[in-house]
Amino acid sequence: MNTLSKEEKDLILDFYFRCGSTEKINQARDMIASDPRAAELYTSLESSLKQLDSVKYEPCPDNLVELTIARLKLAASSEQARLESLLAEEQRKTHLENIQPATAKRGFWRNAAEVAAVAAVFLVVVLVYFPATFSMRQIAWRNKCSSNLASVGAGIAGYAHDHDGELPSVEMDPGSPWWKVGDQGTKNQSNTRHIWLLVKDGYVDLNDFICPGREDAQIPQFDQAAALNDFPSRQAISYSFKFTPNKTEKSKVDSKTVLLSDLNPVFENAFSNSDLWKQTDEFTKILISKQLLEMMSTNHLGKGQNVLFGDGNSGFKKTRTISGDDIFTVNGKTVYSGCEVPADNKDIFLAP
Amino acid sequence: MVSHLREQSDAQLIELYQQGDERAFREIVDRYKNSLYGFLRRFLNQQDLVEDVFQDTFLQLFISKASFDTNRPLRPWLFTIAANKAKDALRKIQRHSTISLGAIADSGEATVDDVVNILKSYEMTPDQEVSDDETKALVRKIIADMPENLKSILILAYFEQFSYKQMAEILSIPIGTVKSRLHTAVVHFMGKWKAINRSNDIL
Repeated sequence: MNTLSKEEKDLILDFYFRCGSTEKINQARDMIASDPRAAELYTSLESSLKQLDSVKYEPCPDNLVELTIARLKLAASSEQARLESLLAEEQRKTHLENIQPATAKRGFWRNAAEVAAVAAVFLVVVLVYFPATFSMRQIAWRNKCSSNLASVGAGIAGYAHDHDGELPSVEMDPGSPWWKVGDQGTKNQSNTRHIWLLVKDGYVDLNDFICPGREDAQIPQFDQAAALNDFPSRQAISYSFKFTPNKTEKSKVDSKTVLLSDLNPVFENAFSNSDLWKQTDEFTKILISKQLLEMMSTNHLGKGQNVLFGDGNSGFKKTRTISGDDIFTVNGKTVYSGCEVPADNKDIFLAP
Repeated sequence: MVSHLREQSDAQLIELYQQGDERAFREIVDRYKNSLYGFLRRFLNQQDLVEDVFQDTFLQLFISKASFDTNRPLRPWLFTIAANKAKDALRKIQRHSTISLGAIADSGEATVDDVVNILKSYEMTPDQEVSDDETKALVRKIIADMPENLKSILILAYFEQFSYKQMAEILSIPIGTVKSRLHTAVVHFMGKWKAINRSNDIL
């Protein structure tokens, strides 16, 4: 068998697979008939590959044919509808061209002008529509934020009603830090602990302390608020609360008193990363600059902040000076180390 | 009318279909459904894929009907579409699966002498007493596990009996590659068959 030349072997193999020209097929047939080595190779191929014949598949199922025909009809009807639509459009264009006076011949520049016109319209739509939707979203977030503050106001009122008119407050040692949001230790070292009582005692939902305008806000998922002493993290509260250094010190609250506002922008960078301050336990000293004095809360792109007043009203203010008082700083203070207290009863300081 | 269509050539059916006769399309489907279905069953070995590719192949005919050159033979054209769509379907699955469903053979190309040698060694293997069902299952497995490029050529050559030229067109490869790949496919199949028989013998 192996004495056949390569060409002869090729010929037999081609013949077996019914490949090659008629001339070659005849040549191979003659060779198999006359040369036992060729016949042996052919028989060997046949007997070896006949195993492949054992794999026989059933014919194509009828339902597959019907499915294929149905898909074709569907495609054909879609195509027909598309063609009719294109035809109608073409007829409409032809009609318009007929009733309009003949103009310069249609050409590249005419088409280019049409494309440019469409592109310009598209650009205008994008330029007008995108900022509009963006702006609408901002307004929606402001309104939702104001509604959050109103809910907190209702919670404060409920709390005060149940506690002899007292606002939610915890005892803080004089000179204690007011910025360690998320610290669950026994010492009260964050001004957020006061309003945490509203969550802990069920007066306000935790979600109401999240401003929708803040991208870094995180609504914590847990059901053990009672076990905590403070908000779980800085990201779980987007607002700043009126600083009350001493529980026993009752201040007069009226319609001009600001209780809560969007996050105070002055201290935002000093301790925004709670993981960092937990490690260092340090407040980055803040020297009040002109820029810090003019900044609005970052909750609403620095355009202003929602505030909650003592009478439960809330609204968006484009200034941080309310009744002549800057709500984000302590009167007369230019350097902050995180332990400041309001200058007097009239001084509103929202922290942290 | 149906018998009238059955007497038409593929080119005539395409022309009738191009003129809007949907019955001509059905006749084309009826004419090639079994061979195309068999090819896809062997090539894909997964019923859902087979059905998808089967439908997509004929749908491609619908899409291309206006531009279809009636001088071109329909059968190789259908198999070209089916083979390409089947390969695409396998690749899609491979992208979403950690299991290899048929890699491309990376071994060298076999010559006619390799085929002769493997046949010779096959002859020396004692005959196995295996049932038809076992044989069928073994052969199916060998084909299913075959690298994609060898499987397609073996199916097209052995089962569909396409010429080298047609296979070259269907698979978009030179005729020389068709021949050497077919030799490789035969050597691969025989090698696996021999190995299985040998292991059965040992057991």
